[in-house]
Amino acid sequence: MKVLLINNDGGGFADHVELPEGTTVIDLFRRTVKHRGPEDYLIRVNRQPAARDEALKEGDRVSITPLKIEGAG
Amino acid sequence: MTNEKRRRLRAALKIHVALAAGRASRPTPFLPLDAWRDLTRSARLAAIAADRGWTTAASAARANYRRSAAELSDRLAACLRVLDADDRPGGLQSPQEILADLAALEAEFGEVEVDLKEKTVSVTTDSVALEGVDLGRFDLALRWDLESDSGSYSVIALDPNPAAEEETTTHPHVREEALCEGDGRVPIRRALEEGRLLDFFLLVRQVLVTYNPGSAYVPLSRWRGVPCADCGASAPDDEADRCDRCGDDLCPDCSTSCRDCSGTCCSDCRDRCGGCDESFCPSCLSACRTCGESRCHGCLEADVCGDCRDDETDEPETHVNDGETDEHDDDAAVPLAADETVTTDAPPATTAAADAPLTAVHAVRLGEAAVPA
Repeated sequence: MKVLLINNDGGGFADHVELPEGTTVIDLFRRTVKHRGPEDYLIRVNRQPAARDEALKEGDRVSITPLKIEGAG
Repeated sequence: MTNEKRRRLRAALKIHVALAAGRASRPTPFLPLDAWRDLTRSARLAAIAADRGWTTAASAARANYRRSAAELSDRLAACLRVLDADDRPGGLQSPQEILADLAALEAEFGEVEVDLKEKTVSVTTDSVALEGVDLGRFDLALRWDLESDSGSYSVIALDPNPAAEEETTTHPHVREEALCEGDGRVPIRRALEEGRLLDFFLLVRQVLVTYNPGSAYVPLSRWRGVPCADCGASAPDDEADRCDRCGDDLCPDCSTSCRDCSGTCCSDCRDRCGGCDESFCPSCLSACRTCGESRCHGCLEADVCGDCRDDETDEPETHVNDGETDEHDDDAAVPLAADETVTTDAPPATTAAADAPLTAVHAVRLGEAAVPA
């Protein structure tokens, strides 16, 4: 299945990714973010908060946004 | 369809049109030919220096070659990013997706305001508190008709609690209603270019709720001003002074200047001259060599203070009597008390007859004979 992944951590890219059927939100997160946990991110599926074990579907839109983003001065 | 939904749909369409127009007008990136020329020149010079055995020149040329290569690499990567942005499947959101973003913004922020006349979309954050400093709520207002950069949105403090030293700094990372995005710059830019309004506002909010002490317009430690080391009051950073000796911060009221060198002193570092009672820094005071008390240079003469010099002049002195009477002469006549008597010493003899034994009755006078007793 293909989902739209928006990774707002760093580059902020939006890409379609091919995933096996039954892939959950936490599966996709761990595949995308290697060194930090989901508690450090806002994770939205189709613009709504989602449970970590929610199974993704074809055409879903998943966004991952860091909770802490350092500004400057 | 309600009026609000109708307004949002019109806004979504207008936003899509504005973004599409922006993409169409985006110029094709130029090839970095100037960087290429620099690289070829650097490569040639490095090769010449190496061939001729010019060790020092070869090292410098090689470093320059490396710099030119890095510059060209960066410029090519930037070109690629621009070209990729046009080709990305995430590209520009459809009006329906923009409309979905507007609905999600309402769920996320509680309210979203769309102003078709001003061409703005606005949301309000919850009150932001960082390290105990309450900065209040912020209104995030996006102008969709402006180019998708940091100038296209404003961060407006609704309950301003600005920095003491700079009233336009309403947040450590916001000055004059502009957010300094830091690490958020690239994803914010990309979200704006693609019309992902929900992502854009979420990213801006997360920058606002994150404090980066290493890079702030005004750090929170100075938000309420600089605490005075003497009185504890808070002074704006640009009005605070600093003790030249210990480095403590001082408010304008507690800052004192040394009367001699004009250096700034706190209450712990300054001292008073015991003579003139003025304030001085310790370097401008010296000890009287007689009593050891601190005096300024103006109150010392030959390292002796005025008090000690006065004491020295009080001691008795020998001097020549010039025959003139002096009303302050210590030998002046003093009235006697009733029970006092005067005892005077016999004046010393001054004639030859003084050596002769004295007669008991009368002294010999001319024409007379001595009469024995």
